[in-house]
Amino acid sequence: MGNIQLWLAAVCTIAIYSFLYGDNLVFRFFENLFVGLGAAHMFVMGYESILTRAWKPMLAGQYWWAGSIVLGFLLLARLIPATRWVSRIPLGFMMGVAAAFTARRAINTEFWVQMRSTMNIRLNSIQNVLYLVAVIAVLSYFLFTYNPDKPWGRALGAAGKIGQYVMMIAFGASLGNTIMARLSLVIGRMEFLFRDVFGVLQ
Amino acid sequence: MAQDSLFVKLQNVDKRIIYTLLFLILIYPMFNPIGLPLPITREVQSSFDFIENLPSGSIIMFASANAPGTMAELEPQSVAVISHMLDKGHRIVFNPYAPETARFIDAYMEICIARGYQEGVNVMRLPFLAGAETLYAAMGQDIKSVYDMVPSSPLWDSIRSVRDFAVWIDITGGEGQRWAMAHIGDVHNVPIVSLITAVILAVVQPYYTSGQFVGIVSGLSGAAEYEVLARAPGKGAAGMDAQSLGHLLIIGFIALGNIAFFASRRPSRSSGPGGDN
Repeated sequence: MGNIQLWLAAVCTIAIYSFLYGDNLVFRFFENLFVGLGAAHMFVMGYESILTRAWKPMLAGQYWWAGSIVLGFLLLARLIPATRWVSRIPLGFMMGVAAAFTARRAINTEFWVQMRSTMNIRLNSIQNVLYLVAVIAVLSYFLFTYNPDKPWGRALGAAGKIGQYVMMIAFGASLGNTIMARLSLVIGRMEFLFRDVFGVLQ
Repeated sequence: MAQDSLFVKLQNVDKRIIYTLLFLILIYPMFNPIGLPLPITREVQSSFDFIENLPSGSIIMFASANAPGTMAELEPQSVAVISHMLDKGHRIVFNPYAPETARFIDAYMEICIARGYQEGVNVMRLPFLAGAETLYAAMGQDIKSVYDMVPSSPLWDSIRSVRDFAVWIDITGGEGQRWAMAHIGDVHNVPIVSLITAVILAVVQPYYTSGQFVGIVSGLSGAAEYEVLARAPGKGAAGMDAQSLGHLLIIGFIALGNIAFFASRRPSRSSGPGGDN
């Protein structure tokens, strides 16, 4: 990275972190700059992808690519109020494909395999025992309604309560990991500033 | 009364004070490394062991969606794993599946070539193609026809389908690892190692327990653990002291805030039945 690029990146970093002191004009300028750069980069990569995957093969005789190019252009119809409805055709197609993939993934990969592995779990470690208890407790919370006057109802209620605590622990772990991720970003930027830009860190 | 006022103040500390303290506590270990202990998690250990035990020359898919927003975590992980693969003499196919990843792959290619690898012989890169999950589904069906624009080379010619990959390493802060699992791992029995940002660990963890992933490397701590296992300290290990101290500070603030909250809710001695509340 050249000197000018380094200093430009340093200015961008400091300007973005100036938000920690309070919202300000410099932050907003650089925020918009980043959004613009990101959009431009995505546009170029998307354009390149369409060119190599659809346009050139179509010109080479694979005419079926014309269909996807037309569908892509129809998305832009939403920019004109009178033809906005046309954009729903490619959107519907995309949603259909996404729904089909998600359904397949949800049923096989995320439901069936997960269920099978939980049923086959070997209770040879505390971790596995806790895992099974947690699964049953959380399922009890979501699946069962119970009569608290009956002994089995109270048992289900207790299991559901444990399920609530298990979920709270899981959400806490997620929050902890989120903090870790955010700290990693700060550490990465600080290392960049002190090592690469100011040269004061080995 | 003065005590109550202190508890209220502790619940409303100016965020700028917190950020300044955080900044100071993060910067201290960068200049004065402490060397806090770093336990190795079983997910990282099994990722390392799997790559370590592959026969030299195995073909590995390195599918990455690394981006500027995730590079602080995914970059140290990627570099650690690539260095390990190079040490073992594995053949690597880089596959950027996010638009922003191409420039990261440039840097990885440079690392490989600097270590004596030859492009097309034992390392290669695939071009970015849009499509997200549809791309994965297509790769699962016939990777050669998806990347039909890739010129012939000894490495590319030795691959006929995704089954030829000894392991599929997926690097992402998004959903890529689920696509790999659904369309590559579960369908073609290709082992998957998942390199992820720490945020999504709780979501991804069950797939390791079920055996759908052979290993997970998560966040900066995962990168540090992998570097320790590979005996190649890098950016991950360097940042872990700061990471740990930062967490301690945040835990301290959470504890302090809660103590102040519960203390300020104590019933006043003068209040109660007959009191002037």
